[in-house]
Amino acid sequence: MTLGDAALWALGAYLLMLVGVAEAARRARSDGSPADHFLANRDLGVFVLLLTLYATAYSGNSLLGYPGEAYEHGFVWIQSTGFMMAVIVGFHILAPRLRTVAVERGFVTPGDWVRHRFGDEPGGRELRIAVAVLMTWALANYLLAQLQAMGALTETLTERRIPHAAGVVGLASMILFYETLGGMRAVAWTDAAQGILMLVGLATLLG
Amino acid sequence: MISRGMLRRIRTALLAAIGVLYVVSLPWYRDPEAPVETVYGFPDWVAVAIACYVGVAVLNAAAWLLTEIRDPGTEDGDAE
Repeated sequence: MTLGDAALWALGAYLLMLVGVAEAARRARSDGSPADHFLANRDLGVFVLLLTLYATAYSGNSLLGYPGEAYEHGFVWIQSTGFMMAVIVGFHILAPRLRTVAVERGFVTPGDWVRHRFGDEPGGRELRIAVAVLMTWALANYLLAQLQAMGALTETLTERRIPHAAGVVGLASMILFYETLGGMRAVAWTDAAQGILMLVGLATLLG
Repeated sequence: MISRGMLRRIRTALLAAIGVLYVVSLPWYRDPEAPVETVYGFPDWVAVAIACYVGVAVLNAAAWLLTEIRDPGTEDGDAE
C-alpha cells in the first residue's frame, strides 16, 4: 500500500468519524436556541474545552504555516512564539471583567457586548456593523489559511489523487455540514479528537 | 490566609514580570556584530528568548490561578 492509498483510507475514515460526531452532536442538542447552537449551552466540560482551545489555537497555521516561515526566515521566527502567547496574556486585560458581564447578560457573540455597551448611544448601530465587518475580515483571513493548509495537505498526502481545489472544497463542505448540524458541540467534539491526534503526532515526531 | 488585596498585588507583579520577560526576549541588548555562542544547539539570543517564553507560560498560568472572576449568582458576584 502506497502513502497515497493509506492517506485516502485515513481521510475516508476521518470523514466518516466527522459524520458520526455531527449526528451525535445533533442528538445531544437540548433546544434550538442560539446559545445551544453557538455555545453548546455553555456546558462543555473542562477536557473538551481544553482540547478545543488547543486545536483552535494550534491550527494549520501553526503546524504548516509557521514551520515554513521558520524555514524561510530562520531563528528570528522564534519570536512568533511570543506573539502567540501575547494573545493569551492579553486576555488578562479583558476576559475577567467581560466574563462577568457576559454571564450576567447572556451574551452569545462578541458583538453582544458592543450592543450592550453602545446600543442606545448615537452611532451604536454603525459601530456594531463596523465590528461585525472587522471580525469577519480578520476571521476570513484566518479561515483562508486553514483552507490553504487543508488543500495542501490533502494533495500532498494523497499523492495528487485529490487535487488542491477539490481538497479545499470537499473538506470545507464537511466543516459546513457538521457545524450546521451539530453547532458548537460538534465543533468542540471534533476539535477534541483533532487535538488528541495533534498531540500524539507531535509527541511521535519529537520522540 | 492571603487577603484579596494581596492576591491582586501578587497578580499585578506577575503580569509586570511577564512584561519584563517580553522585553528581555528581544535581543536588543547585544551587538548585532557580536560573535554568536551556541547554547544547546541554539544561538545564545534564541536560547534566552525560549527561556523567557517558558517563564511567560509559567507566570501566565500562575496569574490566571490568582485571577478573581465574579460570576453573577455566586456569593462574590452577588456582593458586587
